[in-house]
Amino acid sequence: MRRCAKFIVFSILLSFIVSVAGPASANMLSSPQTTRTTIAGESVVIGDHPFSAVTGFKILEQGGTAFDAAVAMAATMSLVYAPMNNFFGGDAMIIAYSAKDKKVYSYNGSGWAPKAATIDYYLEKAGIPETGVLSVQIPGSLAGWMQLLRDYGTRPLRDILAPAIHIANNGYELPDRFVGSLNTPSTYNAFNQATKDMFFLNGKPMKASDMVYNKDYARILTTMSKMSYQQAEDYFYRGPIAKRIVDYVKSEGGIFELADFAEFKAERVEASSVNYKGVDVYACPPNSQGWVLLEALNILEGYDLKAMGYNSARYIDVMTQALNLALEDRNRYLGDPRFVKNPLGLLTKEYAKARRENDIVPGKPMADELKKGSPTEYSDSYYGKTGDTTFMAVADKYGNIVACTTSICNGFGSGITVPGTGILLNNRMTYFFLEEDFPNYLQPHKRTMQTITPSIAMKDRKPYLVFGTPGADVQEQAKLQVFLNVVEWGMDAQLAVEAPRVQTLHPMGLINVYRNPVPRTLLIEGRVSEETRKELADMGYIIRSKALWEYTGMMGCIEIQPNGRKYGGADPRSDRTAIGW
Amino acid sequence: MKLVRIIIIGLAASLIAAAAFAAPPLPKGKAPAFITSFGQSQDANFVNVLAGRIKLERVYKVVGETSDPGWNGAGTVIAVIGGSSKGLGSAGLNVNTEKSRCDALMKSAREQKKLIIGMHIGGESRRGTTSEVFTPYAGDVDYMIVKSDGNQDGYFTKLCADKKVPLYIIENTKELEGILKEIFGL
Repeated sequence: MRRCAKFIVFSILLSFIVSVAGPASANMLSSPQTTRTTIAGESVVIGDHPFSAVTGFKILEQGGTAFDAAVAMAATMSLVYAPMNNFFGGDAMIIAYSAKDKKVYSYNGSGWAPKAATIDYYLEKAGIPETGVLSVQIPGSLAGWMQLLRDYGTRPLRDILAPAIHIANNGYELPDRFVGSLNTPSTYNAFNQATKDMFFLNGKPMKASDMVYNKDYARILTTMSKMSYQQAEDYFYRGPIAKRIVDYVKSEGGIFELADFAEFKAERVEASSVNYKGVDVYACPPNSQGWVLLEALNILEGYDLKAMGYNSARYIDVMTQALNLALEDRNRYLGDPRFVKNPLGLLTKEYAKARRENDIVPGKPMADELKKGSPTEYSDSYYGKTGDTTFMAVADKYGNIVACTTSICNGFGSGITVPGTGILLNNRMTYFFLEEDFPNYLQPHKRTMQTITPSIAMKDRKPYLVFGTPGADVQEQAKLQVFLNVVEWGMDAQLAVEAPRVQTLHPMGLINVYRNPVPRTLLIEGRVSEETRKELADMGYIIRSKALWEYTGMMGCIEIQPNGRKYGGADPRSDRTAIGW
Repeated sequence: MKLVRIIIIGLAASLIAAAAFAAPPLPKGKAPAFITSFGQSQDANFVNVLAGRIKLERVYKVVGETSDPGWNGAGTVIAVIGGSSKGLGSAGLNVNTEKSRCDALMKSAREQKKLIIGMHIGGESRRGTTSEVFTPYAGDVDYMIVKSDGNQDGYFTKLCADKKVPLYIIENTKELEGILKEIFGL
């Protein structure tokens, strides 16, 4: 009896010690720690700023759906995250799942180049400038949002725009993260007076928590709030707002015409998808870069990633090489489907297999010049003619999902605010190439390749994941890692977005200022082990070790369980906020 | 007679003035060209775009080094001068490491007797503090091409005159296409 009692006590003690110490290796998988708790609920909203998340939640609480909430959040983010997106002055790529239709759609709110924008014109200007009126393309964001509402909106604009109107009139505190930019001469030297009026006080850049107002923007929203969705879109593109923008841009030497706005329309198309180990992953098709994620997943599906170990050198190496190839294919093959034949071969498993077997040597970083693939050998079909960044996601209790990445390109975009409107204009023209060797070369009324691209994943034909991030060329890289963190490594949404990330700089970027490839170079967050970084360096990679937390995207992720319960992950690398109830 | 003298003097003065302001003859370049940035501004990309349009045989390496495969075979170096803190950061460089790279290229180019053409085409906006570190290279090249609005203070005029570097001033960057064609006989 005493022996039995001793055994029982010993067993209990042993169990206790094991449960406290955890499994042998103290890594993210076995001893997960997050900086914030996972948010859960019947509905979950993720915004780039607390105000945008609260805005979305308010709309849901009033009986609105994810579709209504997303538009409301976009209008709010245009204020509280003004340097990175604008409801009127930027672009939006939206991916949406309708619980009623059980379909995933992509809404293309990407603007286009003005008709007068030709390569010859910009060659005389020594290229496309980073800022100023010649860096601006016709914005598409509002058209994308109104198209979404026409299809699925349930609330009037009076309700949807009310939170943004309130904030614009009553002010909001300038987020800390923008203060550095405001104090950088190369940033504020690009500002016109209207932008300075918004972000400067007494001739000096604002400090964190200084109040920012945008009453001009509030006036436009208030006018639109009395209109139908179509009327609001016409008021902007075929009415007085377009005229104000065109008149101002022309007065500053720009090349906009009214027809550039009047003829512009957003599109709804079916989202592109691939299946990764039973999960259907959806992304926005070209002219978005969503195919980068899909191709990379197809390539990686052929590896036993689990056997490599989480964030091991081998794992990072093959993931890097897959991304290098997918980004190279983006640069060489993808463009506006109205101008470019985007080969569907890029999304085939056979093409991915060929790339994996012929062009990836695990453990050996790729040569400086990345190999071009031959996707037309695997399918002769093409994707049919259609249909300075924030990210948001809404999953409502009815099962609808909307995710959007919306942006004015670089922080503070062109630096140009149209006087009297509060509209900060994008600088998305900088994405166009002036070389006709690349499919994304500039042509009149062409939509540039966009790095903005949210994603949805379905499992057993039910919504499973919603995820996305700002970050230009880092977007698909961060999304890939977060997706694998959940699907391969079993992380919950919060852990998945917090886990350390890497970025390859090898492929050519889309933004002209950061276009030049930096071969074999990886940015790796400092929380990836020293041992792994050394192994990668020994393979031949050039490691740029970064701080423990660094800008490798600012991810948002919602995981939806089969019972409909939702779990939100908000990236602590940013002000991203999740709310659930 | 007096009138004839006036006319002759006037003509002579015009000829002298024209000679003084005439662009120096363009050098004869030897392809392939090695195009690189001195300072990491995007202007080097622009030159590469123009070079592509005229089908100039070239190697384009914005962070070019003497160890690059195309360096030894290049007959002409085109150093596009202009500083950019964003470009430097993106390339993982700072002004000191970039300057070291440029110095190494210049030294090797001289040893290999390559023709070195410098260009400053970014205009006034490329005359900021970052660019100032690299603009002195204009005095070390064999031939310098400058866009006029980047020379409003006469900096390049004086530097090139002092260092006896032929200086060609352009009004519009599109002129570079014709200039490159002539240099490389295309």
